[in-house]
Amino acid sequence: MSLDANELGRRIRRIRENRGLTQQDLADLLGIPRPAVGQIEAGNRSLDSVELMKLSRELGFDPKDLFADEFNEDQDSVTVLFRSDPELATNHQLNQAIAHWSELCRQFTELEKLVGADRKCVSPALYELPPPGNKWEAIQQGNIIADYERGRLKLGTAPLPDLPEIVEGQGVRVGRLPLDDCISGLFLADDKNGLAILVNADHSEQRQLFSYAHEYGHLLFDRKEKATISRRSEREKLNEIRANSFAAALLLPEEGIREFLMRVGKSQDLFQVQEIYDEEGESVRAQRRSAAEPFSVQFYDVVHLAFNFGVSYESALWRLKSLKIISEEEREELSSREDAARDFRNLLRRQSGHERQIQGGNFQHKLLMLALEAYRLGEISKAKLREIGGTLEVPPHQIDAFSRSAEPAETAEGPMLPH
Amino acid sequence: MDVATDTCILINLVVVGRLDLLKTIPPYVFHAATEVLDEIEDLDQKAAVDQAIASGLLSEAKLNQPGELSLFVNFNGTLGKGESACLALAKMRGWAIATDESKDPKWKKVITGAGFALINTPGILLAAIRAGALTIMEADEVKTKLEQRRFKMKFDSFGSLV
Repeated sequence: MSLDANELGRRIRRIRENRGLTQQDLADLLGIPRPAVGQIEAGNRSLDSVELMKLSRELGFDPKDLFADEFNEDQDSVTVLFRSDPELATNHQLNQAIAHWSELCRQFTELEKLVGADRKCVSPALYELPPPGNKWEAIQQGNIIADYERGRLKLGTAPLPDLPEIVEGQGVRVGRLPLDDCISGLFLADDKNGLAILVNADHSEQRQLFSYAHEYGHLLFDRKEKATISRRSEREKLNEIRANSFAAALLLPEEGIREFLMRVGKSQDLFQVQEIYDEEGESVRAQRRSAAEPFSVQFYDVVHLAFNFGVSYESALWRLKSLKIISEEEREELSSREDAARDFRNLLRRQSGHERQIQGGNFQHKLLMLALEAYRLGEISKAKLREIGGTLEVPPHQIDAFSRSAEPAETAEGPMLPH
Repeated sequence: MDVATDTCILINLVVVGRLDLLKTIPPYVFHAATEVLDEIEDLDQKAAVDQAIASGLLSEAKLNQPGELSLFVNFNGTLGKGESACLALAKMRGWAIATDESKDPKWKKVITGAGFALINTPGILLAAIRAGALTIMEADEVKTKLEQRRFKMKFDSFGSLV
C-alpha cells in the first residue's frame, strides 16, 4: 500500500496520543512550532527524514511500522507500556531510557535475523497459570515455579550470581540502565524487541540481581501482557507479589538455605540423628542432642547467607521468615541490626577481595559482536555498522579498526560514469 | 541529470580542494541528502561543504515524501542513513548515485544490483577533463593526493583514459 501524507499524519497522531503527549510536547521534541505539528498530523506539512528518525528515537518506535500495510500499535510493547503507565508521559528521562533500550533490542532482533542466529535461539518457558486470587496464591505460585525453573534449568541449590547469563541463555535480552529510584526494572515482550529485561543500574548489585529474577518471573508468568514496569508503589499488586516471591525463591532456594545453615551449624533439628545401614538388614542409629540454643540465627549468619547468595540482607531476612526459619520477632530484631550487618558485609567483602559480582548482562557487547558478524557476512554496510556502534557509544575510529579485518583486500577504482 | 552524492565523494573532493568540479560537468547536477551532510564529522570538511552549498556548487536534498521516507527507513535496516537517503532519492526521483565506497560488500551489492546510474570520483575527474575544466596533469595531481589517502585508482594516468 502506498501511504499518503494524510494517513502518515494520522499514524503520527496516534503514536503521540498513545504516548500521552500533547502537540506542544512533540513540537518541543522536534524543535518546531506547535502549529507545524498540527499541520503534519493533518497531512498538510511533510515530515522530513531527520524529523522522522528523531521522533522514532525519542519515542521508541520502529519507523518502519509507520509505513506498514497495517498499522497495529497494539503489537508494540513500548506502546503497551505507555498505555498501562500514564506516569511515563511526564518523565522524559525515563522515556528516553525506554526508547533507547527498545532501539537496541530491535536492532538486536534484526541482526539476529540477518546472521541467522534467530533460528538457534530458545525461548524461556511460559507458565500459563490461573491469575492468583489472593496474596497467598501469588506467593505459592511464585515459589512453585521458582523450584520448577531451578529444576528445569538444572541449577541445583547453589547461588546464582550469573543469573543474567542464565536468563540470556534463554534467549532474553538483558540490560541495565539508570532509571528512577522508584523503578526496579521492566520487561518488554514482542516480535520486534524480543523478550527483554531492563533493570535499574543505579540500584545496588544485590538489588539488581533481585530485579533480574523478578523481571524474569514476569516473563515466565505475564509475557502476554507485552510489557510492565515494576514500581515500588505497585508492590501490593498480585502479579508483583508473585514475581517477588519467584525472585526470592529462585535466588534463595529453600534447600540451598537449609544446606547453608546446616554447614554453619544452624540446623533446625534439635536432635541430630544418623543412621547407618549395613548388609545384615539392620540400621545402626546414632543420636546426639544439640547444644543449648543451637538454632538461634544471628545477624552475621544472615549476612553470610546474603553474601553467599548475592542478595541483600533484608531480602535474606524476609526469605528466612517466609520459610519459617526465623519468626517475625526475630526478623524485626535482626533487621534492627542493619548497621552491624553492613559492617560485617564490608568485612566479608574485604576478606574475599570482592563482593560477588553479577555475571553476564553484557548485552551491548553481544550487540556489537552481532553487528560485526553481520558486516563480515556482507549483510550490513560499514556505515550501518558505524551507526550501530554510535548507539553503543563506540567511536567510529574504533569501529573502523574492528571492521578492517573483515574487509576485502585493498581495491582500486576505475572511472564510473553514467551512459 | 540529477545525482545524489554520498559522503565519500564529498570528502574526497574536499581533501583535494576541488568541490568546484561538481558545477563544471554538465549535465550532472549534484545533491547531498541531509543525512549525508550529517555524516561529515571533520569540522573543516563540514565547513567546506557548507560553503559549497552556499555557493550553489551542490544543493541539500531533503526526503519528505511518504514514499521516500518509507524507502529510506527500510534501507536503513541494513545500510547507513546517508546511504539509505542516497538510494531513496535515486529510486524515487530517478537520480544517479555518486559513490566511491566500492570496498563495502553490502553497499556494492545494493547499488550494482538495482541498476542505478553510478558515478565516482575518477569519473567526475574524467568528466571534468572532457569538459575542459581540468587538465590531465591537474587530474593526475588529484589522483596522487587521493592515493596518498589510500584511495587507489586502477590506471596510471588520466591520459590513458582520454
